[in-house]
Amino acid sequence: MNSNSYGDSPLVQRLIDEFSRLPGIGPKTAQRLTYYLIKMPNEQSESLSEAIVSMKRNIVLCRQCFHITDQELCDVCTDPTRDQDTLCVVEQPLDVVAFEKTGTYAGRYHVLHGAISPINGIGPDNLNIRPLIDRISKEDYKEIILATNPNLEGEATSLYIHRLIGDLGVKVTRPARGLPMGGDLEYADEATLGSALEGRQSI
Amino acid sequence: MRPRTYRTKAVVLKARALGEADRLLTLFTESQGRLSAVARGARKPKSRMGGSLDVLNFVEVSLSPGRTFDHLNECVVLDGFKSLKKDLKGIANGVYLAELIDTFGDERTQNVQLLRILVEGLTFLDRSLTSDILIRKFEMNLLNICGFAPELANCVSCRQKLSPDGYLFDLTRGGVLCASCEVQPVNESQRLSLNAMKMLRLLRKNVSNLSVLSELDLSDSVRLEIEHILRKYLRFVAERDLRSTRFVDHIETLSP
Repeated sequence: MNSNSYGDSPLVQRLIDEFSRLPGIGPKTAQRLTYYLIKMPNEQSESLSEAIVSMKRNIVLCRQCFHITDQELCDVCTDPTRDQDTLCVVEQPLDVVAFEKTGTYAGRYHVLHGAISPINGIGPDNLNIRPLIDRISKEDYKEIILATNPNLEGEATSLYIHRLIGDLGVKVTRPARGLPMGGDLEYADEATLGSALEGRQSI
Repeated sequence: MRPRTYRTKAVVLKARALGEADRLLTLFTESQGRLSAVARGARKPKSRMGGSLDVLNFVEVSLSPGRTFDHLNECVVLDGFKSLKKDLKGIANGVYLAELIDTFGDERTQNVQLLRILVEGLTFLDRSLTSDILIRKFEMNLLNICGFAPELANCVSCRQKLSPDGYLFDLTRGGVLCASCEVQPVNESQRLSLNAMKMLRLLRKNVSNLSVLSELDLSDSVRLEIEHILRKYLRFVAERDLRSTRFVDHIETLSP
């Protein structure tokens, strides 16, 4: 890319290279973003860089549930009004955000930061499973919801956790899987339609 | 010129997230062996393909050639191996088989036999015939198909017929040394018992009914011995660690 000696200045090129590291951003988009920043008023670009720096400096993982926070414990863990009896285990911090948007869940979370993926060398030790087991055995939960993704890796992770906590005497559930709202039945895939039928409920 | 779209049967070997909502899959196809393909939007809940493209699924897909990766247009599940996926041990072993095919299968090179043993192996696991001997049989078949079948009849050094007084498996030469040849320095090797040797020879043979193998009564030490030597040999041929073996071993240590 640097072959053209009359191309971008090294300062500009450096920013382009930094942008291209981001997910979903190729060389062309990186170039466009960089040239947009060149034209941007100084206050705005400084505010952007300051936002990145302060986010990176202050964001930590919650000591208890490993969700992203800027304190020792996250807002969910410190909120006394939340249901203390239910714990929802998810793969990523973004899953917590998705659950919070539903407004139907009021319990606590535990973020694993990934799923078991033997072929990629990710085993139980690379995830926050140990702290989860400790938490469940120390605190008095009535229900553990294993909300890992409905694919092979999420399934393996749930089965694995279930194997470890199965004899602790706590109720363990998985979210229902089935038809998405607003979809057409004929376009549902076999696996989804099959499990939707298995998990049908009386009205 | 390549056709605009083509259909083939395939097993999904692995998958990873790509971009916003896409999934990059490694497929082992009937028509072209191993290849990578992009399923656009497959991570969205409303995707028509998402649920069909789970890892280890045996599917029939329609693909169109793309610049870097082929694109998936359509997917029908032929076998989702549902009961395998409800069992931790089944998943661990299934992923191990997939990793072996991923490692030994060639990119864009048709190899119908590899697909056949993979589907066969997964079918056995799915019928909860998770016998370790069938995994060993799979490993031996794989070595056979790829041209790395171990020499178990004659000494790999002097070519004399092997006599039952001591076997030393020499990894670099891909077979067993006789007692008189093993005085030569050997780099990577493992000693084998007579029973382990017999079992390896049996695995090497064509067995039409695989369930016969799973009913064999073997001592734990022989089981461990052949597991150990086949894994070591596979690792030697592949020239890298097979990552899913760690999980397979870990599952074994858990209480049922």
